[in-house]
Amino acid sequence: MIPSKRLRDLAEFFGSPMLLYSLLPVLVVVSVIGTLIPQGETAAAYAERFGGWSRLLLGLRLDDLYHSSGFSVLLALLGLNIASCTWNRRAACARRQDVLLTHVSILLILTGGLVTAVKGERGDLPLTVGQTRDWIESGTRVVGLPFTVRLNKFTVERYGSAGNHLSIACPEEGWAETLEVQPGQSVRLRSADVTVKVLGYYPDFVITHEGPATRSQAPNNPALRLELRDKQGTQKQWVFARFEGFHATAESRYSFSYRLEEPRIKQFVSELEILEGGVSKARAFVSVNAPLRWKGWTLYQAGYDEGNPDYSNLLASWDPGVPWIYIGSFLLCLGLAWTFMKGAATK
Amino acid sequence: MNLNIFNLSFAAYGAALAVFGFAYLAARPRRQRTAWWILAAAWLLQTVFLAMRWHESGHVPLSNQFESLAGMSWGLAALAGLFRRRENEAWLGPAAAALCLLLLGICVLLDRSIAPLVPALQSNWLLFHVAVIMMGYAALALSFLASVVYLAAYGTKAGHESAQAVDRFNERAMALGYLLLTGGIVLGAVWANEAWGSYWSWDPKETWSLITWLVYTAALHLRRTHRWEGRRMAWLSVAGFAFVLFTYFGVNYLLKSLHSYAGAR
Repeated sequence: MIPSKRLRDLAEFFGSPMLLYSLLPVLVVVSVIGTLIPQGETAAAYAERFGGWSRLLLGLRLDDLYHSSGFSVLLALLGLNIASCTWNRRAACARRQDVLLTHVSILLILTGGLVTAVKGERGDLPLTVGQTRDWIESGTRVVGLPFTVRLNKFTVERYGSAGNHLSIACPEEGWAETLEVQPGQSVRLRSADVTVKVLGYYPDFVITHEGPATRSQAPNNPALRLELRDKQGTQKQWVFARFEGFHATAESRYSFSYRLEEPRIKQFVSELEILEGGVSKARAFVSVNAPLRWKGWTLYQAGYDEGNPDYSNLLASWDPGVPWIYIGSFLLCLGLAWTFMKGAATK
Repeated sequence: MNLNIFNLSFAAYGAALAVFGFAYLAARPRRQRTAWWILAAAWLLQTVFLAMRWHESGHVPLSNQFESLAGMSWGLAALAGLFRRRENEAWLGPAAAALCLLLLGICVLLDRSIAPLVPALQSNWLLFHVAVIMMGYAALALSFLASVVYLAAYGTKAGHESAQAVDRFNERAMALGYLLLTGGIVLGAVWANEAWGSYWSWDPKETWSLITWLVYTAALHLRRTHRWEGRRMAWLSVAGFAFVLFTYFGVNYLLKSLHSYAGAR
């Protein structure tokens, strides 16, 4: 079938290099703007940051620029440009398969992005230990999962153990010293004839009817019970990481500062169970970089809560655009490598 | 971490640059060969340093800005050596040595301690993604160097045979850098899909990588289809490298990014 003249003119316009060289700088400028304006924040946050300009900014959808219709039009025009250019120069492309491959691969990637945007589902899957869930919130919609997820266990692994950094000062004698202490340990200070013993560590200190206790093992309100021995005798002392003023006692010659340094996180791991119709189908560990794939869905370890050691935030994603992206990306690298090798061989 | 080998390598790059300078100023071009040997020794020392750091830390030394920058200078010296085999440009050795020295000089200002990896970086993709990107940046740095040489030495003598050789070098280095940059972005997307559940999040680092890619796409497209060469191509390469620098340094320091661990601690 021979395309009509109007169609040919349209293809010529949309496939013109001029359109490409107009689109590329526009895409660059718009993309730069998107990195300078924080994306996806609340209207109040924009009002606070940009004042009166925030209304214009929100009106132009600059708060979610990369998902705005304007940006989609730019990407669509780029796709149209590449497709039309490839069609208009099909005879040349038949001779330069590397160029054809490169053009087609970019079209595949753009198609993948479109498929992800239209068909993809993605949302948080927050769970506490023992809890089950079979739905996510994808944007503003509730999407059901074809299975139920139960969190059996959640572990935050750290590099080493927490460090209790204790600073003791004696203004009368004019000395101060910082040391790292462990529960049960006695340390003699270098600056003075004073021995400090840590009688107890309370990560989440609370006063109960039975006396001081810890609510949990999470470091919500870390406290140390100390025993200080000097020439004048022995004294006992509480020190709190979050309430420095509580340390001082009228009779004490010393002042204290206590800081709990949590070691860096090594990994956070959710032990999940997949249920279908109430029947257990699989058990798996999910951690960062090690997601679980089940029935087209992928479950990722996304976050945790410092204050609640039983809470794990997972992310569930169903993205039919991924194969398009992967195939397109592979072909793009192949096409560019082919072009590079050809160039190296002919020069 | 014992940094003696790093310092030795730094000094050897400096020595190579000094010998290149001597060869030029004393008009003894044969001394260039000696300088290339010293440059090779500097690169070998750097290889030993990176291998030792890898062994000591237990992970590939590409997890922070010090390590990636050291990796980039390593790649730059390696690529300069490979390009020399094909096109023996007199400016290549001193320019590469000077840039390696500058990059390692910046490394000295950064935190050089070894820290355990955060969960997101505990993946073999760290090696593939960052190494390919850094090699890409190294090739684009060579293209930038060729452009600076072109603009400084041949800005008004475009038809000169040696000017054409520098121009061709610029194109080849840019094409290689573009290929590696593309591969690095693709590998990053695959990794992001494994770690964050999305191959593209429009994170500032990703977006600036795409912006850089678009700039080089335009440059190479203009070269191949509209025969842009000489000064115009050199200026495009300089502009493209400015985008590389912002993507690598600027984003880490000026923008909030998921790639924050790539910045200096």
